[in-house]
Amino acid sequence: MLKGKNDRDISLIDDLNSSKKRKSFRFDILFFLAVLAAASFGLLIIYSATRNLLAAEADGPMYYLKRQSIFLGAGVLLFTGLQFVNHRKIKVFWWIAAAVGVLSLSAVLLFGYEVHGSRSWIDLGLFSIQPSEFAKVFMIITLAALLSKRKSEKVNNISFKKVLLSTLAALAFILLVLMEPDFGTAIIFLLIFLGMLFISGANFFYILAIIAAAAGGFFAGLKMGIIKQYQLDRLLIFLRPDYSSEGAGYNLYQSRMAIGSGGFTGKGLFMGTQTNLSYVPEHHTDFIFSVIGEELGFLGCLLAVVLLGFIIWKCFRIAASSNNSFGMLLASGVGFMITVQVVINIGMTIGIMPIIGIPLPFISSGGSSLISMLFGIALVSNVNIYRETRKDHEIAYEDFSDLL
Amino acid sequence: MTGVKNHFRISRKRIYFLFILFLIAFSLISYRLVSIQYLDASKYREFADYQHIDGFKLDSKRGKILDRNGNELAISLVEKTVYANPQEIEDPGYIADVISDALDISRDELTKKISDKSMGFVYLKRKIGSEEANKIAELNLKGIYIENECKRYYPQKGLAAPIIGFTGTDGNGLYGIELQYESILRGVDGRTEAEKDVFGNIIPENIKTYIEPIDGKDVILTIDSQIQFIAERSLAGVVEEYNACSAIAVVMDTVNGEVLAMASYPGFDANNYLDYDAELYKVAGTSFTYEPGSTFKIVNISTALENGTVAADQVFNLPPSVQVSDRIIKEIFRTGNIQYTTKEIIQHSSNVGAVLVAMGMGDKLYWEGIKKFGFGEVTGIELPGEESGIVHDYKSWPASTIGALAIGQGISVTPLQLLRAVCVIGNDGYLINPTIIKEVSLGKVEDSGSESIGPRRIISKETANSVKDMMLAVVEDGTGTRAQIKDVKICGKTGTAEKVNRNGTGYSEGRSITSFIGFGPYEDPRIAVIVIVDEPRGPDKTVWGGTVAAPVFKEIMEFSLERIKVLK
Repeated sequence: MLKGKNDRDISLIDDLNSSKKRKSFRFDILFFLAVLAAASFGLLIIYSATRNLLAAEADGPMYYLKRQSIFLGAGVLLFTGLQFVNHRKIKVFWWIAAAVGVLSLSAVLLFGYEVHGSRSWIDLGLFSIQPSEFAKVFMIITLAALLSKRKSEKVNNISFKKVLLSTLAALAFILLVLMEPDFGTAIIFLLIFLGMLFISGANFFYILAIIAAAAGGFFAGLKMGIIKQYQLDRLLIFLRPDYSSEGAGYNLYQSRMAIGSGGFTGKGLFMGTQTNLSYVPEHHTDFIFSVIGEELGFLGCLLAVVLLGFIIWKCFRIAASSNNSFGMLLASGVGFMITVQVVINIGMTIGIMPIIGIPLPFISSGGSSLISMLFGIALVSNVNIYRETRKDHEIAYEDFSDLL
Repeated sequence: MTGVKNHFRISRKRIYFLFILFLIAFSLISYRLVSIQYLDASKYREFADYQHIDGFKLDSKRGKILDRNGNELAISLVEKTVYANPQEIEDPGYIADVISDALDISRDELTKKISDKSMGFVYLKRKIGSEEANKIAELNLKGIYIENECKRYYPQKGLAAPIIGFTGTDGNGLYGIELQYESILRGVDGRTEAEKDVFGNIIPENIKTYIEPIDGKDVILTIDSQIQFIAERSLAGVVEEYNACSAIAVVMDTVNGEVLAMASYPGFDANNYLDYDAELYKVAGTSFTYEPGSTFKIVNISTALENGTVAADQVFNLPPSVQVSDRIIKEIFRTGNIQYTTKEIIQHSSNVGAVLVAMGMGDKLYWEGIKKFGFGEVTGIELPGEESGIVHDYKSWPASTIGALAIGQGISVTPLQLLRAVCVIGNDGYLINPTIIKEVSLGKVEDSGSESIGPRRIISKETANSVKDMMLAVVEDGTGTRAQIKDVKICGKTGTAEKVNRNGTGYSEGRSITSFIGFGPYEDPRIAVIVIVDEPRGPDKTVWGGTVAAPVFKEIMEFSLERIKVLK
């Protein structure tokens, strides 16, 4: 082994060498198939939800289905491409990810157009993109790089310097998203940051301090009128069991009615009334879970939740079995991102989470969300392929026994 | 590498900790799903159905009202109306292009109409033919709507308007036959349930239930439009001529009680009923109550003859006036004493004679006779709002009442009641039930309440015939000579009743109700007619039943007798 002055370079070469030594093909086909299954399930639901949409009339009932299929194809291509680049090379170029993320979020503020009051879309001619979706993954790469430890670092807690740097980086992303303003997405960014900080082994003091600061910022924003009352209403409506069908409670009332009316086995694919007759707003994007609930019932919901849960489990498993800090943070960051979005998105449609306008990973209609999710999944798969030799089950057993 | 083992231990712990958090969230989600999709599913299902399924009424077509010959008196027209919602229209130019021909509106005008986004509703054309409407419907254009508007139409305008009645804006019968036969005419509305989206658009493929409407039945009246027309025209003439308040005529078949005409003037046009005084909506023939005056002497004499308290050829010595208790009843023209037979009392309409006849039978017998003739109760004819008139019980009569009743005062009757009573004379003593319904097509006549007892004898044939002779004499050589018809013997009776003062204290000179009632031909009575002219005005002592009402009677009777020969 080479030894040099620069620790980081040595460990990189070290890592690369060890990855070359891997004995078996580590591509987790089940993981990839689960992702494809979730996305295909999404295609089916999107078709059901959009074939009657008025906007679809001009382009035919397959309009949204075709679009989403193209996005899925693009996402799979991106995924495939990323399997051939060791993620540790990506670590070296983390600053590019940070720069692309920040610049794209800045660009949307300058050149973007508004949808539902947020300037979050950029029109690229053929299609539009939502940079904040991609920025989530870019932030995960950035934070993973900033929070990761070199092998020589023996301390369990990470240094204040790292916490500070990562906080500044996360703050840049969060503030830019807040300026759109996309309050809900900013919360997702904040949660991802807190999750990664937690996983990195940061002292609880730092985490609590950041939560306190965020809460302080929230109340300051509320006082200064930056955060509007209706946004607060939407956030808290699920806590009021007597919410009405008017105003802030409308979406929740409608989606819960749709899901509830689906019953145990659902009304049948394409037979949803509340969703297909547009009573549930955004029913092919943010509220797509209500279509599943109405048409496929409890069984369909369970299928979706289990499928997504399996993907999340895989992400965490791959993260935990990684022997390099960057890979672990990368995979767990992506896993946590999916977790947060799945729990909040499904939770909001059934009234146990605040109404935050975020898509359901892999399933909601929308190219930016699907491609950035596949981008994240590609990184996780990459962490799996290029990890150091160590038997999965040993690590799993070891850590679980510790925990219990 | 021992270091490696511990190196990420804390991170791994925390990863699994987060995953356990996820499992908790997963459990909460599952629990919640079971709660709303299993435990409360039926509740949500109900809410959902309530929200997205809409019921629509399918209007049944209202039945027609026809006269006895099948002439349409009231019909329903289905009008197609085309309207637009400009807010839903995306390409006004294109829509104007494709529908301007069918609507027969210029393209530019149409474009202008449907481009006004400030409007949510614009009529494009009303009363469009169904062929054009179908053409537009087939194009299935967004924002263009076609609606069926059912409109009631009365093709004969004002003819028999109070009898036919009319429907309100919601299509419900409000007056006349339209009201009386509402349920039969209306039929049964159908119903459909369909899904609608959040914007209220109906999804045609998703119709849940469809119940066909059952159209209403036609109602055929006994009214003959021709006689009705002549009656109305004659009434209009007499009201004009004598500047009267109003006039009423009823024409009835003496044998079976079918009302051939029931006219009043002034009338109204049911197509524009709102333009007229609501008082005119009433059927005067059954709701106008008045003191019949001398025409009521027929009931008086008939009852006395039937009870044997007087004979047809009995001679009465009649002074010019007679005192009954506190009231003095005078003759009108006569100042000296005269001798009249019972027949002549009718023929010359002697008040004093009538009073003596009535007093001869006494309160109880007279009252019973009046009741037998059907006064004081409705005839049961199939018309809403029929009045029963007022007949006080004889036990409560003051002593002077019999004198008043003898000459048709102190009682209120409807024209139809009196006509029915007079028909008894022409009908060998049988009381018949008036009817205005010939037939209800394909359905039973649902009579509203009246017990359908057939004609019943209330006086003997002999009594009837001798009164008939008296009534013939009235026309041949009495007060009603102006009712004479060439080659036909007519029986009749005049009536001139002073109207009660508006403040109810006694009678007012000058304001009177003149009437003529009768039937013919004498040999085989077929038609009975009553004519009432309310408050005719003319030179003093010229306004009588025999001068004002009799000519109108003659006009209507003459036409009706001709007409009945060809009627079924």
